[in-house]
Amino acid sequence: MSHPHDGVLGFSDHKADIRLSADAVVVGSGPGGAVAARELAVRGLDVILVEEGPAFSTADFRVEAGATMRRVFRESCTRVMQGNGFFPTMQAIGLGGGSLVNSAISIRAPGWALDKWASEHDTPQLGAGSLDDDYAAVEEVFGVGPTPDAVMGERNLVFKRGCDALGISSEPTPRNVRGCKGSAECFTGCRNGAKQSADVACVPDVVSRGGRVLTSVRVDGVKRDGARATGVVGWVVEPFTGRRAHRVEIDAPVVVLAAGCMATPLIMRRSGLGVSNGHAGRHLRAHPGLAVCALFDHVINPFEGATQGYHSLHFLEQGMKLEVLWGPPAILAVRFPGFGEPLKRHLVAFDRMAPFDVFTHAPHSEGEVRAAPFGDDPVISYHLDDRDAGTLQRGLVILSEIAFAAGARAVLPGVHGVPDPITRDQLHLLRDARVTAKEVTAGANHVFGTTRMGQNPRNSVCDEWGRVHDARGLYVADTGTFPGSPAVNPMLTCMALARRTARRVADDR
Amino acid sequence: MLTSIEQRVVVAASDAMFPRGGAIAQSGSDAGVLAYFEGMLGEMSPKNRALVRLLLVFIQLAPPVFFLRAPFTWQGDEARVATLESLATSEIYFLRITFQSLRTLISIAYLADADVAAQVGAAPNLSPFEGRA
Repeated sequence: MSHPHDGVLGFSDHKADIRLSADAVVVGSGPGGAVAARELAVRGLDVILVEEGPAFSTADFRVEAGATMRRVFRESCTRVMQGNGFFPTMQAIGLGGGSLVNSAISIRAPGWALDKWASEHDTPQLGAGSLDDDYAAVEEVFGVGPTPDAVMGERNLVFKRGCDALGISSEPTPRNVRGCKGSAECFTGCRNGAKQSADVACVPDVVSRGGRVLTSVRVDGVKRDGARATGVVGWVVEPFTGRRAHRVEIDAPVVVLAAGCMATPLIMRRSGLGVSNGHAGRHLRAHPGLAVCALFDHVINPFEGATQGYHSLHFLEQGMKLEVLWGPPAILAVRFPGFGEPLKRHLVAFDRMAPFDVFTHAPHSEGEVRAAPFGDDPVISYHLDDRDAGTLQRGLVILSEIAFAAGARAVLPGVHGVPDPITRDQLHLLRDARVTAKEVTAGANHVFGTTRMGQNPRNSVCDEWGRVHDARGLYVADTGTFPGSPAVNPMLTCMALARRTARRVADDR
Repeated sequence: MLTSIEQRVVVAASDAMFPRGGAIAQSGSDAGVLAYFEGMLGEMSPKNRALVRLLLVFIQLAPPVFFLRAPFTWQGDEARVATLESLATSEIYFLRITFQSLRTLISIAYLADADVAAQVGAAPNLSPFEGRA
């Protein structure tokens, strides 16, 4: 029986310096890079896909949260954006990138969000409907469909009941899974192999069409001949330690950077390509999010059921998306107050708890990614504007109302200065609190915008096709190209844009 | 991996955060938090390892600097709880973040213990809905 990673070369396969050539080299195997590589291979190009991390199979996934955090996430999952607060942000390192460990939420950006890109960010070709064909194509490849009722579980259903009671629209979350069994292990990797992560959905098609997939290869820079990209250089690096083993040099007339919006601009800066206007690395945008834990009298058993099986788009145009949340207890416990016996009592009450989260488009907040003076990890700054923090606060109030409408006896809002927990009668304490970046710990795993698209080469890094303005043969196919928020979880839009870029690469040849 | 003082900070903080008995029987020490911590640091990059060690040093020295109290490991059990409470509820954002960072690391280590995880109800089940109507 074939394995999705058959034909993928790993660290132990790299026994000497590597010198290769191809029609195109794609840097990064996350949702954007893997889709781009697959599309290029389907269109007949000789493709090399390189990934810095190793390949993780179902047998490699560990349910223990800490082990996953150290093995699958950059900087052992301690990465933070710093500004007017500390904002944890998670980026995966492994074949498949973030799709390995996200909740598989695959949702199209609403037309009005794309129209906003077009009108506010000079991307007129990317208005409503412009991505429909690409969306449909990647949805087919990744098996996207609504979460089935059979694997919802009570954690998702109480959210639905709360929304229904309040007249708030909600729906089963569309996800890229096939045969989900509701094991709720998305964050630590799907041991059932149901999640259609990029390494499962795309890599086999790359290999079967003659493409080469190299893991444990870190790209440090883009080779250039004047303003033309001619390939990449880097190193074979040992998994988990990052120790350099062998030099890598790949010649290709087409270079597609899809290393993620934190890494791609740094590769460009090191290479001196795409940096003439100084925008690469700037305009970092994110979807900061917060969560409430709803406490019920009846058993929820949140350990079972699709990880994020239900969501509400009701308040999307008001700047927020509401979701059911789940992750390992060790991670969710960050939201609990205090320590000692009170903390223990919260931990043993997990079976009667349902966490819900809100994230905002955060249109007023921005940051930057820069190279650190030492080491390979970036320095990431981010400023959460008070107006966006206020949106999160409103989201927490609405989530609490949903919880109470569903029968919760209390919620843990996790806001400094607001009692934990609060009952329905105390909700005004959350509503009236002053919430800024410093009263909460907002995580932000949806990040984008550092190599933004636009028609004007003076204030954007690449055009609407992902072509870097001041370099020939150089493209970007990760969330860095987003000129603004897609309003929803970014993965599907990233993949649709990557496919669109790959189509352009093939047409440009 | 950790110095003896850093080890004492981890043990003292984990037992203050998770004292023996109560809703979950095991203390931080019982759950092997220190051994987990050492293993965790061993898998981290030098930069992250240094940051975690800096956090431990900060916890040790924050009481005399911010609260006019003895260094953390010199304190008795009740004083350690009071110190952690002061950090957790401080009006100084950085102190709250410091507390939260430490508690997150210790919670991860504590919940990695199989017995603790079982008491929390975290029993992995790959097919929880199989056979249900």
